[in-house]
Amino acid sequence: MKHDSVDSYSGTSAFSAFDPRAKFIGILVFAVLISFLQDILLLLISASFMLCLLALSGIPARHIAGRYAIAFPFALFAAITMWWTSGEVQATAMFLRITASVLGLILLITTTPFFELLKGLQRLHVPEVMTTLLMFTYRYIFVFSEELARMKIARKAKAYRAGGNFLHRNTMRTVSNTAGMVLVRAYEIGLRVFDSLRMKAYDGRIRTLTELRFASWDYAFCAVLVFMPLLLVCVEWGLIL
Amino acid sequence: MHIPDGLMAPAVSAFGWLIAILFIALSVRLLNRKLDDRQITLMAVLAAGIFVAQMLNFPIGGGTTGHLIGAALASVILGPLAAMLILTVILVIQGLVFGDGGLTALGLNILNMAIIGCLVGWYAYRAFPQRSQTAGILAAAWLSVFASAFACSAELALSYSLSGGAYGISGVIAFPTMLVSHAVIGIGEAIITGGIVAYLAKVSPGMLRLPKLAYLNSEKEAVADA
Repeated sequence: MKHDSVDSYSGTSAFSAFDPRAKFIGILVFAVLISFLQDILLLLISASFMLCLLALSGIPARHIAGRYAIAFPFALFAAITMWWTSGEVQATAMFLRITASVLGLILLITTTPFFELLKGLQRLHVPEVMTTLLMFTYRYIFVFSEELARMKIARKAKAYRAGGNFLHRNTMRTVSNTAGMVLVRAYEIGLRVFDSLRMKAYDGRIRTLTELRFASWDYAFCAVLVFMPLLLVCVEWGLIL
Repeated sequence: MHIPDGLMAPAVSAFGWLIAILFIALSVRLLNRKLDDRQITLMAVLAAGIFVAQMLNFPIGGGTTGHLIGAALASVILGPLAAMLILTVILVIQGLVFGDGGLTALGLNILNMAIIGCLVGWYAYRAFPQRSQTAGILAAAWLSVFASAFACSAELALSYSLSGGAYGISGVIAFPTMLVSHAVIGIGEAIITGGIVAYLAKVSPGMLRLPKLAYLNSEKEAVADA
C-alpha cells in the first residue's frame, strides 16, 4: 500500500481548496440527515446530488468506484436481508441510504488530505492526544505496510503457501510471527521516534506554516451540503410540499 | 463488521456516539495525566503496527479468510484504556482515510470493537491466574470478538425493531449469522493473538511489560506497573 494511492487526488480536486472543517461539518450533517430518510425518491435525489458533487470534484470515476466497492458488499447484504424481512421498498431504501452516505464520505476523504483534515479536527476542539495519535499512526501505517509487503515477498521466496483453514499449524504460526515481527519493529521504532522528534524541537504540539481560514466560499459550500438534505428531510416529514 | 452509515436507526447511532464520547473522554483524561509525549508517540506507532497486522489474512476454511481485530492483543500489551484509544484511532483512520465504516456509524463501531472488545478482552485476560496466562489470552481474544459481534447484532436487531423494519437487520437473521460466523472467526483471532504474544515473549519481552492503563481510579496500579 503506497501513500500516494490513498491521497492521490486529495490535493488537486476541485474541492481540495475548501476548508477541511467546511467539508467535515457539511458531510457529517449530510450523513446525519440522510439517515432519517426512508422515501426511495428522496434517497435517490440525495444519492444523485452526491454523485453530481463527485462529478464536479474532478476525481476519476474509477477511483470513486474503487472506494465504493469497499462498502458495496455491506449495502448489498443489508438490502438482501431487508428484502427478506421487510419487502423490496424498504430494501431499496436501505441500499440507497447506505450508498448516498458512503458517496458523501468518499467526497470528504478523496478531496481532503488527511493531515489537512486533522488540522481541521484540531481546530474543532478534538482533544490533542487524539489528533497526535492519529497523525503518528497514519504516518507509520505506510512505513509498516511496506515492511509487511517485503516480509510477504521473503516468505514467498521461501516457498510459503497458506494452508486451507486455521487448524493448519504452520500457516497460523507464520501469520502470527509475521504480525509479531511487525509489532516488534513498530515498538523499536516507536521508542526512537520521540528522540528524533525532540532533536527537531518537537514539544508535543504540531505547528504548521499554513493557517486554516474559513472564507465565505467555505460557508457557501457547507451551506449547500447542509441545505440539500435538510430540504429532503422537510419534504419527508411533510413540513413542505 | 464495520457498520456503514445509513444502516442503523438514528437513535441507535446516537446512542453509540454518546457511549463512545464518554469512554474516549475518560481515556484521554487519564492518558493526559499518566503518559508523557514519549509514551504517546510509542502508542501511536504501536497502533500503526496493529493496523498493519490487521491487514494479514488467515485462512478460516472453505476458501474464506479472516483477519485480526487486535482488541485483546492491544489490551494485553497496553491495558484496556490505552488499547481503547488505539483501536479508536485505527477505526477513525479506516473510516476517514479508507472509507471503511462511516461518520454516523463511527460511534457504534468504536463501541463494539474498541470499547467492548478491549474491556471484555482485558477482564477475560485478568480473570485467569498468572500461571494459565496462555489460556487467558486465548479466551480473551475469542471473547472480545464474540462480544463485539453480539453487541453489533443487538444494535442491528434494536434498529430493526425500533424502526418497525426500516433500519437494521431483523434479530432472527442478525444474531445467528453474526454469532455463528464470529464464533468461528474468534478461534482464528485467539490462535493468532496467542501466537503473537508467544512471539513477543520470546523476541521482545519488554513489550509485554509496558505500563498498563487499566482502572480509572486505580492510580496505584498504573504507577506500580510503570
